[in-house]
Order: sequence, then structure tokens, then C-alpha cells
Amino acid sequence: MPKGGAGVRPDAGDVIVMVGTTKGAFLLHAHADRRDWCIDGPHFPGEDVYALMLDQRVGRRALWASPGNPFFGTSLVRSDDFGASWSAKEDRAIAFPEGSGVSIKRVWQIQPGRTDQPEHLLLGVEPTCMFESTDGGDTWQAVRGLLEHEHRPKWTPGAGGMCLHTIIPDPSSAERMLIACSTGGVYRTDDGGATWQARNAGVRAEFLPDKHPEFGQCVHKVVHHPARPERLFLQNHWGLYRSDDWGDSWVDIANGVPSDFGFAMAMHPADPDTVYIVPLESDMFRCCPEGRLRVYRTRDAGGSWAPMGAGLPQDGVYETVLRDSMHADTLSPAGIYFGTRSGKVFGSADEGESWMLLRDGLPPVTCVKAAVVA
Amino acid sequence: MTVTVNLPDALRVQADGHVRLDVSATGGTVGDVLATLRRELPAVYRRIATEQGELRPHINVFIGDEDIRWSGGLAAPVGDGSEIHIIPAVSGGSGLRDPYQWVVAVMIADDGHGMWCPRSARVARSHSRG
Repeated sequence: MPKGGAGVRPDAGDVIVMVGTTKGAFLLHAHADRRDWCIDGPHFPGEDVYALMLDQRVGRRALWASPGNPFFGTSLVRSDDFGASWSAKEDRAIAFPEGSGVSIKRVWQIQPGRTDQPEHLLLGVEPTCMFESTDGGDTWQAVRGLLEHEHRPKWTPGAGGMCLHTIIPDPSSAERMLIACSTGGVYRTDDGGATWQARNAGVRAEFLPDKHPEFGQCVHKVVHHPARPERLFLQNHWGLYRSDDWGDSWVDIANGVPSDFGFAMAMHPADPDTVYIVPLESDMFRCCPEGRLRVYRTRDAGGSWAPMGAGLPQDGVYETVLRDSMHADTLSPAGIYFGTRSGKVFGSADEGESWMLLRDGLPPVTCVKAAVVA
Repeated sequence: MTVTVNLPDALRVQADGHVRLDVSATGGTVGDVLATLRRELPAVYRRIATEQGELRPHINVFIGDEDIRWSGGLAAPVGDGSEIHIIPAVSGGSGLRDPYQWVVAVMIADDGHGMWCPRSARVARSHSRG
């Protein structure tokens, strides 16, 4: 397998920022002070990487990636040595059932299952569906409740594709899980994935004649905090929302933001009321407003938002941050990281109060995931 | 029937180090040859075709120097001793996955996440894939 990176050798407590781009993946590595960063990569040169995940349940250090070759399709690979080597069991190939009429285009999300189910892994894919593994990723099955969902014929692709990009298992119930797809919106199962109900009440679809349909919304990202799992935050294709009832209802929380259009959204690792977004000017001009790159942070669950721009370029910059390109580590104070379509990766070691450019000159960034090495 | 399948170098690893394969097939079409690959070299096959048996959008297949697109697709007949070439298309290197998306990108200079629905531009597929 082509590989440009040699891997990293972190110590426990170090921080790894996994960066997926349209031309490969990179691993940024720093000690817990997060001052000096080294970079390793590209892994999978020439391949797009939209999903990365470090699974540290039950003592493992499994780094998962989904490189997608524009010619040869997408695959799912795993490294147990932080990128020094990658293995892709061919029988691990993810595939829709024969006769289903759909084929895997891209993996958008790799999600570990609940901590008490350490062999449980989930994938969000394009075209919209979820795959599930109960044997640590050796075999995968499409979730029939989504593959055969009655709404499926009416789901349509957004500009990025018809993708299932967000998976939120309920830490308090193995039967409940929430997903978000674009377009389609938010769906929730309460019976372990057998059936899925649309949960979009209050979320508008600005691009449809009926602004509040049951489903069809273009949800860009949803986050929550495990300590308060029923509370969800949603960045919509126009709209910022919060739900306090697992998606049964949504309220508008776009209070004091320059635009409620955007893609990225990141949850604070310790505070269920603190969320980060990067507003973009509009669907017609998907760049940071006013030529200033600012992260916005709420510390009161969306009651108000404050710009966090110290250290970020503020003069004539037109950056775009995509839906999975912002994430937080789990240290205190929390580190926040995001990447741009222009190939920059920024990081903050003080919860967004100040930022530094960690890396420039990368291919367009498609996902950023941060983790503290256990 | 036995034919020779020439693979791109990028698939050498999946083909156990080879880029020229002698492939036996019971039928007489390109699809029959690929069916043999699917059984014997699934890692190669799934990089050429989807799980539904369709050629991937940026993969071109030639019998000799003839593109099978113009001779029946997977039903194109192949004779014993034929040379089949599997070659990545020039359209696949943009980072955008589908030919029609590539055309949209050129038309409106979009960044790949623009407002146009790719569906509306599917008509351009045949122009970009060659």
C-alpha cells in the first residue's frame, strides 16, 4: 500500500491530531503542553481521507482510516502502531448487499461503539447508510433499517454527496442512537437500529418550499456530550439549533453569530454547555464572514456566542472549514483544532482563547480528529 | 478461453506482484473475465468494479486498443488470446469522484461544495469520461 508517512511514537499523555485531506492523511504530534508539533505523512498519498478515528477502548491503540482512491474506490484500514504500518484485510471490505443497487462511494465517519461494547464499531457512508461491526472491524453489515428506510428514495445529495456523516450512540442505552445525513436530516432509533424515526421538528430546510418538512433537512453536523446525552447541538445548512430531548424538538440558538450557516461544530470535552463553530458567510459564499477567520464559542448552551480570533488571520482571508474539520482533545484546558480547505491547521491549547498555526501547505483538509494517547 | 489482463502498476500489490495476468474464463465476454478475477483476486476486482458489478467511473477497459464502452461494455466479446488493458482514466485525478462533478467544477469554478446539484449535470458524464 502506498504510504508516505513513517508513523509517530507518542508517549501516554501526548496529543495526536489526525488530519485527513483530499490527498492523504497526516498525523500531528505534540506533548501535553501542545507547544511544539511535529508532522508525519502523507499516509495514503493521493487518496482522500474523510474519516479517521483512534479507538483506545480496552487498552488498544487502533487508528482507523478510510482512504478513498478516486480510481479504485474506498477502503478501511487500521494501524496499531500509529501509522508505522497499516493493514487492510481484504475480507474486511465494506460492501452493500448484492442486489441492493447501491455501492460504497465514501466513508464519512468511523465511530466507536459504546465503551461497554468494545468490539462494536460503526461507519457512516455515502450513499447514506450505516455499517456496523460487532467483531472489532473484521466484518461489516449494512444497517437494514437505514438501507431499506421508507424515506430513502427522497433523500438527495448535498454538494458533498449523499452522506451519513454523524453517528451518536447513547451512552446510557444500547437501544438508542442518533444519526445525521445530508440531505435527510436527523434520525433516531430507539430499538437498536431496527427502525429509525425522523427527528427534525424545528429544523428548517431553507432550500425547500416547505421550510419545516418531516425530513429532508441538510444537517451539517450534530454534537453532544456524553455526560448530558439528551442535549444535542446542530449546525444546519442555515441554522444553529439545540435539542434537550434527544432530538424530539429543536430550538434556534443563533444568538449573536455573524451567520448561522456553517459546517463544523465541536463539543468541549468536559463542559456540556460549551460548543465551538466556524460560521461561514452564506451558502452562496462559503467563506468566513468579513474576511476574518473566527471560531465562535458558546459557554451557555447557545444562549450567546463569542468570537475567538486571537492568533487567527483577520485581514482579507476567505477560509472554509468543512463539517468534520474541527475537534477537541480531552486535556484541561481543552485543545481545539481545525483545518481549512486551503490546507491550514490551527490549534488552541487554551480552549480557543488564542490560536496558533500548526501547519500550512497541506492539501484541502477534510477532517480533523484529536486524541490524547492513553 | 484464456486472455491476458494487463493491470495498472497501482494494482500490483493486490495482484501478488504481477501486472500481467493470464485469466481463464468460461464465457466469452469482458464480464466473464472479470467474474474470474472476482473469484480469484477479489482485491483486484473490487478496485475495478463496485460490489454491484459495475465498472468504477474512472476505470477504462480496452480489448486490444478498443474501449469497451463502444463495443458493448461488460458484454463486449473477447476471443481466446485477447489482451485486455485496465487503465485509470484521466478524469480521476481531480479529487472529485464522479465525472459529472468534474464537469460542474469546471463550469462554475466551484470548490466542490458549491450550490449546484450534481444530478442536474449528469448529462455531461459522457463528455468527461473519455
